[in-house]
Amino acid sequence: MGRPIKDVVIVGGGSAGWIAAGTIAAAHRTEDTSGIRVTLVESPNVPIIGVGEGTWPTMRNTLRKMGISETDFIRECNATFKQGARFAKWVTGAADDAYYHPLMLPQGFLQGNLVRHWQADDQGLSFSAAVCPQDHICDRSLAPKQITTPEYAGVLNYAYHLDAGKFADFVRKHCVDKLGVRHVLADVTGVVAADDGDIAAVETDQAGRITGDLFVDCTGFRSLLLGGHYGVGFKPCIDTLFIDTALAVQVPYRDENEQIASQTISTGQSAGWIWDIGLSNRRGIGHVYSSAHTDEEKAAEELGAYISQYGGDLGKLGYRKIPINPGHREKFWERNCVAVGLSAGFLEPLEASALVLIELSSGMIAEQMPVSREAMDVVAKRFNAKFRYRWDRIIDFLKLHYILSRRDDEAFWRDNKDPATIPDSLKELMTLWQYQPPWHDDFVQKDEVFPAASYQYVLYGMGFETQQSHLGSSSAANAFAQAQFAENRKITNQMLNNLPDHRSLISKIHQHGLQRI
Amino acid sequence: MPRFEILTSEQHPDITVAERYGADCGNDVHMIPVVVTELAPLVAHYPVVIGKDGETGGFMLAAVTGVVEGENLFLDGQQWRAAYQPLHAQRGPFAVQETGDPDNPSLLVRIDLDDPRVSGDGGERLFDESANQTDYMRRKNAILATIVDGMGKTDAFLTACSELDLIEPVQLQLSFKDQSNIRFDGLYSINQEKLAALTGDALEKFHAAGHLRSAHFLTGSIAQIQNLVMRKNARL
Repeated sequence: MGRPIKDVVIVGGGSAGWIAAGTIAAAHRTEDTSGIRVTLVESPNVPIIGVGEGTWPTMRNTLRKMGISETDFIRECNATFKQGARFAKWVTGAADDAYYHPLMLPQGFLQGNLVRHWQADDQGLSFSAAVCPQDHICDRSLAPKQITTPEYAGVLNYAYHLDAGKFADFVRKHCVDKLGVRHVLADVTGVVAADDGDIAAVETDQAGRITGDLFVDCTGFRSLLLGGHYGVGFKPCIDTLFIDTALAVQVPYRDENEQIASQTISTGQSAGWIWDIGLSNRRGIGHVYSSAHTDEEKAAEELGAYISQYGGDLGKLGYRKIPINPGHREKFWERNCVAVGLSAGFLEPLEASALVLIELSSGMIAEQMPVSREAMDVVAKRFNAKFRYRWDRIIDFLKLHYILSRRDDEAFWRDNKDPATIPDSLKELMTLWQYQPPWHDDFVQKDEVFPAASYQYVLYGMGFETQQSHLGSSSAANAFAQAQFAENRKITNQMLNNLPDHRSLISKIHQHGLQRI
Repeated sequence: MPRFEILTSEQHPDITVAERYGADCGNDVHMIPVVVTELAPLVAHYPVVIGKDGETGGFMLAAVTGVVEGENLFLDGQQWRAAYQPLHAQRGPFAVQETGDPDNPSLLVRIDLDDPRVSGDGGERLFDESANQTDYMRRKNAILATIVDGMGKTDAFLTACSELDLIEPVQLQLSFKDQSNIRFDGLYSINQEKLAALTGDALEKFHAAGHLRSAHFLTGSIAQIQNLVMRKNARL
């Protein structure tokens, strides 16, 4: 059977460490001590990165499975609801240039593809507005549910915006108090190798040697175990996605009743873009840019101009500069060590993929937790294949946003369309989509990171045109499509009349909480 | 539109209130909030369900008086055809406002001056010649006090049920003699298996607080749905 796996040691805290700890501990709880033991060792001195604040709808399940109350999470992490992303100035750069990538699937998505019907007659609506109510909901800053909706349920599909620092503290407390996770505050000074090449233990300053059977590397960009100790190579993708620096700032609201945005806002700049996330007490804003195309001074100027619309003064608020090395490790699981979070890789936060990769990694580790050391090699191989595929698809999807842009005002935008910078996999899909709209079978995995719907929203939101088919469409298909458009109009009106505004709902949740059922 | 003012003998010495019901008095509603303290007389006539307060999302109890919005199957002109009416209906055009120390508030009575029962025909006086409260006013005060006390007890009951994970969502589907169907969403009830599985300390505390009795009353009231359907069928 091989050596049984009993002790999981997570090195590093932050969102990665604590989501991994909570997910694994919750999945493997036992009444007695016969289950997996989870230990998280983190440095009291090394700060967390503290800027990842956008999530996907998967986070609702992740928190629920840990036994966390959505009410507690919203109250303690200044969390708000995210219903998608609004991309401004990505296509032409004009003042009114904006489109939505909403979180809901297009109406009737499991039964039929509405793209061709929308292209034939858009009835004056953008693609997303024709097939989904969230454009209108987000335009009016409405919430995706009501105070009477139970925890984790939504009237419309939603994810969260959260305070990264508070989130790590919040999940840590839950893991330690409710899930039996052992928390060790200590600086790791070395890695102890076993005879067979596995990691036997980590040496620490304050807590001595900590042994384990499986080590989870959540040490951030340093990748202390996977990159540092095992020397697993890093595959940069700066030739595809040029962004390599972030300037981050927190901007307060002008008053406590200022409306909270219902979506992440991404606004194109001269050599990058600015993220804008609304929490309950402040905004988290950052300018990500390519240092090959602009410099810090100019980037800071653009950031300052952006936040001035909210009454923010960058001179007074200051900003944090965070260098980004876009790319990922060649492998993520080496021997008895698996990397989760920044230690596995990082790409620009264009579609908030970092936290969901942490959730997916933690989920697979928990679900496939090898019972013995022998089984682990098989799991590791499958993990590596699966996540290598996922990183490639994320790179494709992010690059898609750039190649569809018609901006040519700056070298950054022009250079992004150079075919030499476009992955072959994406080129192939673009060829396919010239003739037929994205559909389920374009993507092979059972649980793709981005469903075909996401590609539809970005393609047609950015004005891409799929050629008319000589095949035409049947009257049944036409009737189906018109029924879906009509249903969407009906649902949109219902939602506009029944959903509260975002700020009001968040205030009510702080005051009254949400019921569990 | 309601126009509530704090009721005083100085401001309203000659005010009268007619004791009646009617659609013009806002009685044409299909759900009416109720309190646990009135469950015994209530369940002889009405199905009582758990719902959610639209403002706070908190649980509340309601008697079901109709099957569509704006319909009260017990209302017949100015009469309410049942031996017992929920306290919220009995209070008429009166309401309370809590004032003073939040931990020990005193209650001020308010009256809706725009209610058609106020200062209309056939009214009862609220204050006598010496500006003292009449018996009628005192009866109304007692109803208001019972409601306030009942609301606290209702919260305690529903909180206890929620903490013991006894509350579950239900769907009510009713069919009528003209083949029509109606579905009620957003309602909850007590899960019988979980209630029956309560043991030891939890059961003792639940029973000692009077909640076991309330839970059984609620469950028993579901049978009243058939009577509601009969009343509706009689109108079809």
